[in-house]
Amino acid sequence: MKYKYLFVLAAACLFATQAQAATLSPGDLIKASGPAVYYYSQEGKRLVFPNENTYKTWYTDFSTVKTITDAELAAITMGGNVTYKPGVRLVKIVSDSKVYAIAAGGVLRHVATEEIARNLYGADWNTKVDDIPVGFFSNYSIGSSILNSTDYSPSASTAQAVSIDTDRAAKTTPPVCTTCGSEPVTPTTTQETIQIALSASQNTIKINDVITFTASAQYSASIKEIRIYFDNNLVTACQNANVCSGDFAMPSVLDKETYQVKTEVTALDTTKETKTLDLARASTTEPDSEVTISVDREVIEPGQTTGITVQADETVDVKEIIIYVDDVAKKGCNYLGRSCKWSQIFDGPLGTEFNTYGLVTSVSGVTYRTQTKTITLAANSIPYVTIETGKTYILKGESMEAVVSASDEDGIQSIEILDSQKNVLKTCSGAAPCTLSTGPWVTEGMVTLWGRATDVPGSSNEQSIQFEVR
Amino acid sequence: MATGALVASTLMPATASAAVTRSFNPGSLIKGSGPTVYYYAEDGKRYVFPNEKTYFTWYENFDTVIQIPDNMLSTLPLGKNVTYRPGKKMVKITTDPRVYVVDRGGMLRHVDSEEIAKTLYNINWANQIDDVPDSFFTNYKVGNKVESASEYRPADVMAGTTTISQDKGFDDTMAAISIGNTMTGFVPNSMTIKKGTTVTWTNQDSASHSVIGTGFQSDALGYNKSYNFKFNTVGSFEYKDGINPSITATIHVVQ
Repeated sequence: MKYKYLFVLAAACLFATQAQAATLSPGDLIKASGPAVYYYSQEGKRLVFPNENTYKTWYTDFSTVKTITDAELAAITMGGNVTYKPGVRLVKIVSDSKVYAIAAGGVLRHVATEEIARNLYGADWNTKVDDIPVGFFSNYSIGSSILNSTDYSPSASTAQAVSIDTDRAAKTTPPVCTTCGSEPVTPTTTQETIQIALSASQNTIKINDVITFTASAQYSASIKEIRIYFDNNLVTACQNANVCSGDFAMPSVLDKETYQVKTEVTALDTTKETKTLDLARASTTEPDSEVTISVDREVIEPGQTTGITVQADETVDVKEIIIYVDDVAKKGCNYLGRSCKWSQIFDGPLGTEFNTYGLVTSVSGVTYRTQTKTITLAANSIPYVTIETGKTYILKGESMEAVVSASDEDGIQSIEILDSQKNVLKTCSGAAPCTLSTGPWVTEGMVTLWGRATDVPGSSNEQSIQFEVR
Repeated sequence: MATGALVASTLMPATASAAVTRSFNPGSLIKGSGPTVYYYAEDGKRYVFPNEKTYFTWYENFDTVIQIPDNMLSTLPLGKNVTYRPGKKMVKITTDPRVYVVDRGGMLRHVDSEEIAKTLYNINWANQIDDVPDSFFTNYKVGNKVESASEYRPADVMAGTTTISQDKGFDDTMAAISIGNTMTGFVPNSMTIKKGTTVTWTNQDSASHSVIGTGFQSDALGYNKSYNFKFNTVGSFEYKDGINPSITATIHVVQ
């Protein structure tokens, strides 16, 4: 049969809407002579089920589908695609391993770990994952990740989605076409907003920092102007460009916790949109006791190497440890236990100081900061010292052996073992490890021992160790 | 089966390309080991061709498709769907007799009469209409009607939008790089841009990464955090991840 294309006129539109108004109510499932089933929405539009999987999250069968004529169906404007009912299934896309749960309004939330997936969807969670064809991925938006099981409830999400209409209302509400008057059912230009990305070259600010701000805008009409403000001061204004970038020097006094960056974008069709970004003042807060930093040798000669170790205690569920030297991230350790080590050569004139600290991020998103240690370049480095005891605890009445080892480019003159009050317990001359059997220890509690080494030119360094008497 | 509409979401290149590369540029057509082809745009996202008809409004064949490693492909965030090249064809949906021409940015404009359709696409205008599956209709916006033939000249409209980037509103003053895990590194690993382009790096990995090169250096970037730098001089710039220094990449800046 040769298809005859028609051009719908206003009269046809009016006629059709009157006809369907009598029989249809919002929430109905409708179809015409073809196989496709649509959801008739509150706005009087038909919503498309992009595939059968999507339909099945909302309905178990097709028994409630009403059949209308092709002309009636054609008169109903298309209103977009239906997304998965929240909480029913998990989804992913073919080309990506990330698994997402569905929140209200077609928002995808990445399920961060397998354990969370199991807690939420049971041991057979992996049988509840559907692949979304990539062509339909743009019907969804990405929300925040689910970092723990209390962050999302499948049953509550499902219960909240009473109907496809209420679920869609959770998105930004689209404009409603209430009039089907002299014009055919063609909505005028959709209420599209300008998409803006705003970024800064640093996430935190310190006095006198120079920070680059960049704003980019996406919109169907051309962009007329982009303005960027820092704390209400104009940074830059760019005309007729989609991307705008400008440098701004931070003030010499930072008296606020956070500072706002704002961008204002104006399109040729006079649509305006703004976006803001908060930058925090770099923290000068006290270090956290859960994390510690140690430096093998805090005084070294130019061109020598020293190691930096950052450790977290058992109370921290470590996700990542990052070691910084002079505010530059030097080494990151992910999921590799509670400690992270970094060694490098430090070079520069005598007297140069390098500041080092560690940031530890927990799985639950808390950031801990160690104290800051200083590495100084000097004419004579201090020796590298280690003190070891075989065990972390002994029982009352037992003895403990301590071994202090040391090394230095200039040679070791002497090694000493000291008690917690720094009284010398034993002195060994030369570079050979110094061993001392201490005890028997009769009082319960923590005991501290120190090891000290002095090099031939006379610089010394100390390290301590703790063990418990039970 | 009474549900939904036609699902056509993959594109099958005629021949499988042999070499796998880690180097590509904004505007490249890319694929992994699977058949789906994507358009890599200036915002660092991969744009989906919802069906073959859409692809062939922009390209005549699959000769320029580049294969990249699967883990690199999955690191790139998905963009929206590619829409028909403006001016190339008219479109409609099966369940609605209205015929539309396509304007820049996936804007559909209803053709008001058969006379106008005939003027725009000549006597065989009816052969110049493609059916868009219902489920992809949402990728388009509906704009003003075409009320006279002088409002829309298919040849001019086509000449005005030669690339998908133009259609989406991007220009070559920006480019973007995704940072994946330690296996993937920077995606793309090597990219050529024009002088004056602002490059934005975004960390798509759950672990932190940073960007360190000669003259530019980021903080440690957590998940979804970005850093950008404008390249104002011509040359090849090697850079690395300061947190995992074995991860390196290159940006070539040309006039």
